[in-house]
Amino acid sequence: MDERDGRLASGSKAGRGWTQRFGLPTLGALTLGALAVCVVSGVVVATGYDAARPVDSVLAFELGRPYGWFFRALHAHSAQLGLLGLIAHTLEYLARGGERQVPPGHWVVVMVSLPVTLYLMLGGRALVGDAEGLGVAAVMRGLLEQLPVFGAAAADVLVGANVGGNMTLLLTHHVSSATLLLLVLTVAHLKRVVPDAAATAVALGLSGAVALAVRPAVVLSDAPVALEGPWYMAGLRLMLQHLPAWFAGLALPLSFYLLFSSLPWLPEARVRAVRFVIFAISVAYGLLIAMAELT
Amino acid sequence: MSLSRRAVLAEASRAAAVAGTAAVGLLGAHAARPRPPSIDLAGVDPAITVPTATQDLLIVPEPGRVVVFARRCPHLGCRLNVEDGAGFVCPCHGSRFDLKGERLEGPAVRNLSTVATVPR
Repeated sequence: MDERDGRLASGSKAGRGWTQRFGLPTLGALTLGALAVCVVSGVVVATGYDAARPVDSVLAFELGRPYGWFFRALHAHSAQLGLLGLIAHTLEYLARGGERQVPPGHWVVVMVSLPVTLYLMLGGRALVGDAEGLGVAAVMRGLLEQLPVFGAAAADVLVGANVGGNMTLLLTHHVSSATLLLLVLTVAHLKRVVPDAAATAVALGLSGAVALAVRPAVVLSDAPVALEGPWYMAGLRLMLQHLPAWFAGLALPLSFYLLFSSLPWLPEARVRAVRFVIFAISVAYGLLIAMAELT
Repeated sequence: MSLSRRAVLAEASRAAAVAGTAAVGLLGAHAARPRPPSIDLAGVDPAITVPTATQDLLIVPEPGRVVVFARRCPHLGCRLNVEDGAGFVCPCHGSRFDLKGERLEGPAVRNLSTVATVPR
């Protein structure tokens, strides 16, 4: 770790990842490459999007534009790859004790990036505007409203009312403010925004291959019996079915997030135990996702 | 890694300034938000014979009137669907309600809110 400029040098012990043993880019580089693919394909997808007629415009883009289906799938799958890379990169970082090797401001940047990424992912799914997209928007809004004092205001500012499926506000955040914020955070984290060419090629190859095989869903039924939502929210969906919304949707995730964020400031003697708790909760949530997807 | 008290105070005051600005922005945006239009009952057909869902409403025929509920789950706000003409179900987390809008099962803790009753 080069503490002078606050970034991880790729050749340093802290910057080296297990993926390099197999000749692959580091997880961090792969995540940035996926972000680049996602942004570029997102610009193409945005050219056909109409916030007032979301689902119609998505279908028109997918079916009517040359290779529209591929660009939409590439956008969705590169985002998924970026999220997976980010989760794996964060856990890898945590396992190495990286959070205690960087200046506190750097760790804050990393921690702010996580909810921004989640917001972009959920917003992207909501923007499709199909039954599942409207469900995602409603749940985002409903969970934000659980926040005391600022809940309704946060829901108004971040999600909007989505009356009649109009997605103008979410679109604005998705294509500009939240994406810009993530890019600023990325620059603050890495001191660069241009991704590594090899890592981008791997990200493009992986997400492109999946895009050729799997098209992201559009739930065309107006009255589905059950909505599944994004896979990474499946554990939360399961918890929300059985626990109070304020507890499952707010108190638990926020406690986990605050515990995670506090790592650099904890006394040395407690860090090991807290790291273990964080890994245990992550594994438990992974199991919840698997359980929700299998039932 | 050790931080001086001055550095901690500087970081904390920066964080407080950012949080304060965000809070003022959120409350301002909330205060200035457009209020939703009053619910338009023009599309409610008093002659319906089966429970029906429009974009924002659930309409239930009863003897001499139709009852109109908001098509919004009281749990987290998902759009409810008519289930076999016998009640309503939330596709997000599975809450169920009968035709009177009363909660039957699921994570919702409140009944459906009645928007209007229209004579027929």
